[in-house]
Amino acid sequence: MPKLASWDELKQHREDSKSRTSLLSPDSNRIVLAVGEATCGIAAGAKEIAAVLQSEIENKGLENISIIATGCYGMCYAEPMVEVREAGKPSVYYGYVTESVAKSIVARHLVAGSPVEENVLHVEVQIP
Amino acid sequence: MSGVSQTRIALRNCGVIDPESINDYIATDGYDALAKAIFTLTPDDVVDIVKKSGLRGRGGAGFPTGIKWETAKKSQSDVKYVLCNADEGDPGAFMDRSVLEGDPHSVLEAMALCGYAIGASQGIIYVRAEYPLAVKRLQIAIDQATDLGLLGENILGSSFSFSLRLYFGAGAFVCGEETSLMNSVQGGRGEPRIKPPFPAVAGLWNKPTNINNVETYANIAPIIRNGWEWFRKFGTEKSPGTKVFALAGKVNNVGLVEVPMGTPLRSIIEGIGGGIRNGRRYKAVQTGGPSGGCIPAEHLDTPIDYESLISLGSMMGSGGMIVMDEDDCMVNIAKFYLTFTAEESCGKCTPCRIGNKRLLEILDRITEGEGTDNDLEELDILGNIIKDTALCGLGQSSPNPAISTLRFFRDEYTAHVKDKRCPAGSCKKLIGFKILADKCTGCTVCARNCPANCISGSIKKVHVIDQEKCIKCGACLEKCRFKAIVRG
Repeated sequence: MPKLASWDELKQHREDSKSRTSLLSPDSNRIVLAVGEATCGIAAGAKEIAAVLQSEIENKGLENISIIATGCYGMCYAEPMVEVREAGKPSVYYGYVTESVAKSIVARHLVAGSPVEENVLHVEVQIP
Repeated sequence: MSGVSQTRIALRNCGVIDPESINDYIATDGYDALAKAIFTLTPDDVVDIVKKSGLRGRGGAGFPTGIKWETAKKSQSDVKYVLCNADEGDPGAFMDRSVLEGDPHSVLEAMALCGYAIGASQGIIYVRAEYPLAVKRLQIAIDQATDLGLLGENILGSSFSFSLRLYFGAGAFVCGEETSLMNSVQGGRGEPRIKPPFPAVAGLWNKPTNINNVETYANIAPIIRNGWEWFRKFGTEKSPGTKVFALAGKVNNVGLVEVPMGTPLRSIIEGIGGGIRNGRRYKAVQTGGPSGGCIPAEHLDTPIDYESLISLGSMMGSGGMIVMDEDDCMVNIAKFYLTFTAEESCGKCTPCRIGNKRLLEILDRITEGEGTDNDLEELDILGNIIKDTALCGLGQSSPNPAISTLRFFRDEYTAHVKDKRCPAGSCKKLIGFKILADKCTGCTVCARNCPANCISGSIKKVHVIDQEKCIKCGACLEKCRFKAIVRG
């Protein structure tokens, strides 16, 4: 990648990056599944959960969904955690995610469109 | 979470961005503070903003960050260094690890800002090798930032150059002390130096060096971007901003919290932490790790800042908070921390090397039921002598766990010394188990679960524990469904 040679280039790079990051612009039609992959999450099995999510999404042929690894949500007691980010909707945070919960998230939340209530830890409009 | 509001400045991107993607960081205004400084602010302006923000060192001592930067800036030298202390070693603390794993670029950007402010072109992050994921993500971040021209020669086309590299700590706790850390980077033994001269005057290779902790750096970019007035809106007059705490121990919700300074301890433990596990009663919270002390229930409403914790005989420390319930013996807790510091003492100065050893021997005697009144007095006197005379922060603070528990839980010490009893039931030499004949149904569960095979009795007959063979593990007490086994 060429080096950024001015503040303006940094600003331009920021605009260009927005559509490619895990953060959604308001008009995005993508869904981002963020998995907490700090040491706490990984120790609780986050990598396995991310793999289950990936294969479930492929099995069901879902498109426009990206899985990203993020840092610690702070709620280490509830790891592994999965966050569903959809533009224009409050993020939904799932805690204590097991393989079967991960499958339910894909089948019920992503396909059928209703959150897996029993595992929702927290719903938030925006992280302050 | 639980109605207690958290304010995330240092953790602003943790759990939000992908830490291995520089584009994620840039998309959340990353590196904008650095660009703003390089193109619109003089180094003096940057120092001034940090000074006015009132930001204080988040590694524990609370020294004003702006004054450190100003001193390093004023020191004349052809070469200066920016160091990051990522040698988080307190038992139960994981604030810095979470920042490094969740938002490594925030530390890189702040170090470059510091380099710009003090006139340094080289930085080193001293990170403990026991944090492999943090190390990996830091290296990815450094490589990405260098590739994009946000680190290295002529950053963003300007005349400012700043490069960063990692240096791995090998596990010595004392290397979290800034001068020991610098000796370690130089390839020497991790032993503290006498201060003054302070690192800002003569630090790494005797060159002016600014050293801050991970969390301190994580606050810098938002301060430069939003201004010092913004930062001062959070926290208290003397301790502006927020603090990250790693909440561990006997609370329901173990994790990482960031709250404004001045938040009462109770809001953190009972609110965000969700109270004590298994409906047990709160006894104390240990703050500041091996350098801190234990705070009892009557002080739970204390607003947290650097001064209030010191007045309680504890300290902010890096932000570890270990919550204890009624099953924790405070003498034993003091012994646990002192065992740690005595082992980690580098041995350079006598008060720490020998004093802590003697202190530990006293605590050993007390927990084994061999303590005397004189021991309690000696603990207090010797502890204070070590605090006054040790060379570095490790020794100066190592007696804190013992002194503070003696201050707030003297009755527990007295019970160990006078009655040869451990009220919490955790010091093995001072506890025993017995079976109540009128409650025992002879179900044999205890005998079958005893790992030492020291419980005898046949079916439907009262069982008996052989006190000679009992290893005091408490397995029988846990398994008995008839409450027929008691301590005593």
